[in-house]
Amino acid sequence: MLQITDLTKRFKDLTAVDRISFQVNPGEIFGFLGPNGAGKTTTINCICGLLKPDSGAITIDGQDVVAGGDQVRKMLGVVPQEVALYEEFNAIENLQFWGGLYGLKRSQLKSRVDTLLELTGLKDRAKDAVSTYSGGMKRRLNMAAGMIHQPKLLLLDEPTVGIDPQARHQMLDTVRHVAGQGTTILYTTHYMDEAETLCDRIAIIDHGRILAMGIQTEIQQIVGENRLLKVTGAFEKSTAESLPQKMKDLVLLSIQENEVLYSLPIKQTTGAFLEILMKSGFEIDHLAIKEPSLDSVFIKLTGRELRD
Amino acid sequence: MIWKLIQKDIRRRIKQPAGYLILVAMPLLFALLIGLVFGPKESGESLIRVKMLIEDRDDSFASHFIANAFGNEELQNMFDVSVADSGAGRPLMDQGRASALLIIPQGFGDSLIHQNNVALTLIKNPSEAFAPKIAEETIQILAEGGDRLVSMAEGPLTTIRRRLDSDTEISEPEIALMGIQLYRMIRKVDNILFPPLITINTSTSDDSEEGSDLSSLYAYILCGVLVMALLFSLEVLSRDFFLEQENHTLTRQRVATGIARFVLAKMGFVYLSGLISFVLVWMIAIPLFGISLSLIQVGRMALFSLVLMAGLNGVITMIYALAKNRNQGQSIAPAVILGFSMLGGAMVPLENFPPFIRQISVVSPVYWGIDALRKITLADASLRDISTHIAILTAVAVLLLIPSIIFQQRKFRS
Repeated sequence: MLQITDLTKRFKDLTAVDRISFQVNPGEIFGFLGPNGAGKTTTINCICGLLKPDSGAITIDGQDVVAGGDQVRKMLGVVPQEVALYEEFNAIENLQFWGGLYGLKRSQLKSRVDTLLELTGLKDRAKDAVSTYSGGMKRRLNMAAGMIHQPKLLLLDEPTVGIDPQARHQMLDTVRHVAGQGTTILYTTHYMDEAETLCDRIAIIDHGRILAMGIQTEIQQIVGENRLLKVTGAFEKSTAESLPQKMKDLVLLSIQENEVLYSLPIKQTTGAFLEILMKSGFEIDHLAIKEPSLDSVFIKLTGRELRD
Repeated sequence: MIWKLIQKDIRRRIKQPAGYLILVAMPLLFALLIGLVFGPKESGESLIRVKMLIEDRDDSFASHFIANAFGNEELQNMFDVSVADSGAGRPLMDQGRASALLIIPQGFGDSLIHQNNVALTLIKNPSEAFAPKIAEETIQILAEGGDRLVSMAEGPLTTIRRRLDSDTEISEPEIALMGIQLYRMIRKVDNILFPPLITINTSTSDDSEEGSDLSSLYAYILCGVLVMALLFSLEVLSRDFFLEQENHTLTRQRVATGIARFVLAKMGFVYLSGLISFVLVWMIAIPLFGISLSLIQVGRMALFSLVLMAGLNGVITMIYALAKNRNQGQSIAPAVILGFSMLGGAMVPLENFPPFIRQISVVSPVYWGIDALRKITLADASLRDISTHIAILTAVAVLLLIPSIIFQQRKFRS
């Protein structure tokens, strides 16, 4: 459905996107995972024609995005990171306007508006001005506006930023529902759990480059079958650094004043690790154990946690 | 597609109409206020009254003639006259109790009879703007009329002078003869003593004609303030270019329609809103101010408004096309609007400006707009009569709108 080849976008001296290539298959939810400033939104903006790439090619259903015009536009739905709605209009008026721009006929429009209001749980407040909505409701309507014309490819740019867990859960369910109906989805996020639970395939992007790509299990193989052990408390730096010598396969990943991060194969028991810690004179306040996940992949690939 | 975008903007305005209505009401209120201040009242009285203080140091027939002149029916509507004792006028003026003080010097009457030069002294109150000026001009007219009267009445005055010099009494037939001669002379200089400013009111005191004068005044003022208010109105609406960007709705529109349609639709919306304002203002102004326009005049106005709005839209759109952000646009636009409006005669009639300003006023599109509107409404000008105005405003529209479209697209694309 979406094919990106050697896409590069520069802003003066900054290369925001650096020769990235990937493809998204029909009906797939493709996760684009990376911290803020990694190049996710720039990529989305190039795909939907808001930015002109410096080099590379983008095709949707075989049609070039840059030269595509209205035909490509109709295949594409965008849910921007910011709420892009008219606050003086109500939900119905907003959806009717955005649908009208894609040439939906009156009867089609009515049916789509009803469906989406039902899907996003906004039917009861459909006639209230958007200015009276909560942040979560605005986000849901923002998403509905991007889907009003039933696009073949839906670009969701961090749609859950700044909303409460309940609204977030509801939005993720909506995304699954839409994908279930055959819409291809490119979903950018910096939330690991969203990518893990929602996406069929994931690309990890940082500093404009794709670091890893594949299905979740493929990506996790990058770090192997390791769990992360984060120890918080009082300790000597030299003691923390010497710990891997005392336990086989234990790897020191990062060290800070009161916090140290190790990786340990899942075949090793955390009990043995805890025993070594105690013997080495660690005063433990807290021990967090993270099972193998995208988190650990990101740390392995970039040397830092995603939230950094 | 473009029409859908325009419809959306119109619906948004209808949802929050307060700002829009204020913009429509503004020219009407301006015209009403200016008309009330400077126009004649229904009773024929002027709103500006001149408090005139006369210090008569001569106490002669001639000085009484000057003082009584202010008791004339026409001057009574404008002047409140009080006579001060000799030497009392100046202290009252210093207290700000009069607009002007006229001092009639001792020997004024004798000097007239002997046809010697004599000067009246007028002291104006510096804290008042208009009233002292009116007093000065009226005294000047009276002085000129009096001068003329004295030269024409040389015969009777010579008789009086001889009798006074020889200390002999004037007989009753001589007094009657002089009375007839003086009456005839006064009739001859009547137009000079009571000049057109004053006599026009008496000769056109018919109610309907007074109403018509007032309506013409309102129409004259409205043409000026309307063009200025339209520019302000278009400026407020043009902020939408940046507001859509700030509210992120531009992003979604660009994806759905492309930038060119967005820019064209926004310009279309601003243009159409200007036309709606124009029509609304005249629809209210015509019955409110009793402006009488024939159907042909209305048709000419409607046709001219299409060109006028395009020209004004060009000016505002160019400002916003060159502005980097909304704040910059909002800062620059009012200065340009006020400059063009003042230069175009929107607030102050151009006749009141020095000649060199009148010459450069043609660079202001506002000038061409106002002048054509006044010609249509007040002089029943045909489209041919205002063809220069139409041509210039069309040129302004083309020269400004086309680059504006290009600049706006370039700016929002980046």
